Amino acid sequence: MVNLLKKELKDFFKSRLSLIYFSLLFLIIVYSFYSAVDLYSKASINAIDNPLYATGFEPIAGVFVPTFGGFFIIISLMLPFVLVQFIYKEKKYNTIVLVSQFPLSLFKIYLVKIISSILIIILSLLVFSPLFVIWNNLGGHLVFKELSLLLSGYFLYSLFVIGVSFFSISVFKTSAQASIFSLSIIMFSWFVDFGKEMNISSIIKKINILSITSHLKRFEDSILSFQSVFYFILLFTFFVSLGYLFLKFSEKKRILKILIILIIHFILFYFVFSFDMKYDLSESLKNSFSVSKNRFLKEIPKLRIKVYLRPTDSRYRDYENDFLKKLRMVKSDVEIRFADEDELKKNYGLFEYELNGKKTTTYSNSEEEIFMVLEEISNKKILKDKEKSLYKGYPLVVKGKWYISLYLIYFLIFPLILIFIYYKLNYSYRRLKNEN
Amino acid sequence: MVEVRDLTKYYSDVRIINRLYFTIPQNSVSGIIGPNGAGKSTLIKIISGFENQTSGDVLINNKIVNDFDDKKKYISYMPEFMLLYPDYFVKEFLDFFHKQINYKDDELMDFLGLKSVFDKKISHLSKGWHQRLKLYTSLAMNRDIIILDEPFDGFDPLQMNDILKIFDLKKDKTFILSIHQLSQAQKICDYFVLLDNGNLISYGSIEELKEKFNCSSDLLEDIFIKALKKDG
Repeated sequence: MVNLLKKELKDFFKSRLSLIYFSLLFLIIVYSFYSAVDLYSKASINAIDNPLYATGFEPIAGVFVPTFGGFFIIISLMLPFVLVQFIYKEKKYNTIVLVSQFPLSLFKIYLVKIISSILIIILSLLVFSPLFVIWNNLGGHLVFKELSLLLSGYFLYSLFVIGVSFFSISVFKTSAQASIFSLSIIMFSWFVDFGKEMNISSIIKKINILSITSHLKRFEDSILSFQSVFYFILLFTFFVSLGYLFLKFSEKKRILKILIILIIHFILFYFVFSFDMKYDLSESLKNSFSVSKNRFLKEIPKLRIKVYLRPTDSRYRDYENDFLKKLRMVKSDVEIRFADEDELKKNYGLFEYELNGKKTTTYSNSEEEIFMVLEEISNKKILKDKEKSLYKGYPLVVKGKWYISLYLIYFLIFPLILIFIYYKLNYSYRRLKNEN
Repeated sequence: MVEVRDLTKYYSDVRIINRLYFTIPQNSVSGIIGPNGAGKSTLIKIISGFENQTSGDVLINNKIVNDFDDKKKYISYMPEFMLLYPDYFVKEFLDFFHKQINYKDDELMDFLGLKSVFDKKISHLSKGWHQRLKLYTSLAMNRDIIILDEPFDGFDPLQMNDILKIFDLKKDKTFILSIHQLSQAQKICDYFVLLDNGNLISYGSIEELKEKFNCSSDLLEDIFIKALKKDG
């Protein structure tokens, strides 16, 4: 298996596609990181002497999430083209017939190709590591757990892309068909997100739970959600196992096996979406209420909220981002309903809270006001927090030509290493010719 | 010994192979002969495990072996179309290949003259040399049964005479060949499986076929034409 793995990686690095992939990656890393740091630095100028303003400065959200935004584009739009080559060339030249006759089983050969893809993803993520050193040298602050979560999110998202790519190249004959199919699945998720934001239809809203990008967003928000982790893993195993069934020669009872995979995954998906455990790993605890508020929420029964706003209303968006997101971290069973058109006309802007059949209303969407209302209908009091939030924020103003090291690494050192590997792999056997 | 028992293959509603029965003796060279569309390639793909039969069995040494992973312990198969890694140099490819199969057949490499093209890129090889490399991969796997689909495409008559000696070199193997040139087949094969439109017309040695179809000519081509007429 190791020999085959070496061959797969060698084939990848000796291809021009690898040169294009990594060149684009270097370019996009430099552009995204430079822009993010520059913007963060300019915005930080006013926050340096303003402690309240400074609390809004989080390096992961302000610098690294935008930087990885470029990586998201690369892995969504380019990676399928790269990954389908692992199987496409074998199919195109029919060498799959030769390879499948090796003592290794076809399953192990398929596994080797998947492991190679995973190693390429890990390498792509490692390419980001100099950024953390540069940021640290600039005096920037980094939180290991937030950064690890962000990297894990992108790793899991890449697993999904690997799964889709292997499935599509196993089903389709040409790399163009397979890549376009992979892109369609990825873009479907973008469409669902867009549809949800624009409130296009209730069906799209319901299937938004399946949206890949919304699950990735949790990792970007420093929320460790076991639902999202298992969702990505299940998507990967689902597509990869289907791909194997389509690739395998003379597979008997293929339809039955596909059905079994569908049923098993359907059951597993059901379990994954039945419960969720979320942890706010952000240093600022931006996704959570205070400890005492969380305790209060855990003690109260199921909460029903009726919103007299349209989902596209900016007030509702603020309510969703500032309150509901935090609420769902503690009470995943909270029920949100929207008032119908007739009710909207009478009470537009109202929020109705219901606990154990007791109802109360308010027009306010401020956190403090809402908790006062909840205290009222629950007959419970929120104890005062003993500790105050210690998060002070990390504004950073960078000066001088800090970007020189960035350019040096990504425009000189890394490309040279890449070209050296490409040359070495493509021309090492050419020496034989010269010797003869 | 390879035995085909009541083998049928359908693609959707189209019958490609129709209830075939025949036995290929051990250490023989057998040719599957038939006009275009007779089902030759489908038959050898089924025997080698790259296609599934709709019904029937393939037996190897009197044991039913229908699973691909079981078949590949006994059989190596060379398809008609296969372009070995064009970006590789011959030596580079063979190094990889030998590591995969944990075996290296120096005698065969010498016989095929592959060492003289070690420094060539596979994409730069002529069709004949590429065919030699393909033959090497099938033979060097050291399986008991070797199935070759149109193995002599790309060889000129001079090269052919050399290449045919390969069957003397590998006398301990059972060869099943699909060949469209009947004159070539007659030179190489001990047994013949005559197919037409998915049906088995007959199988046996040239003498057996000659007697069966009451043909005075010794040429396989004449016997085959007579057999087709009788069948049709």
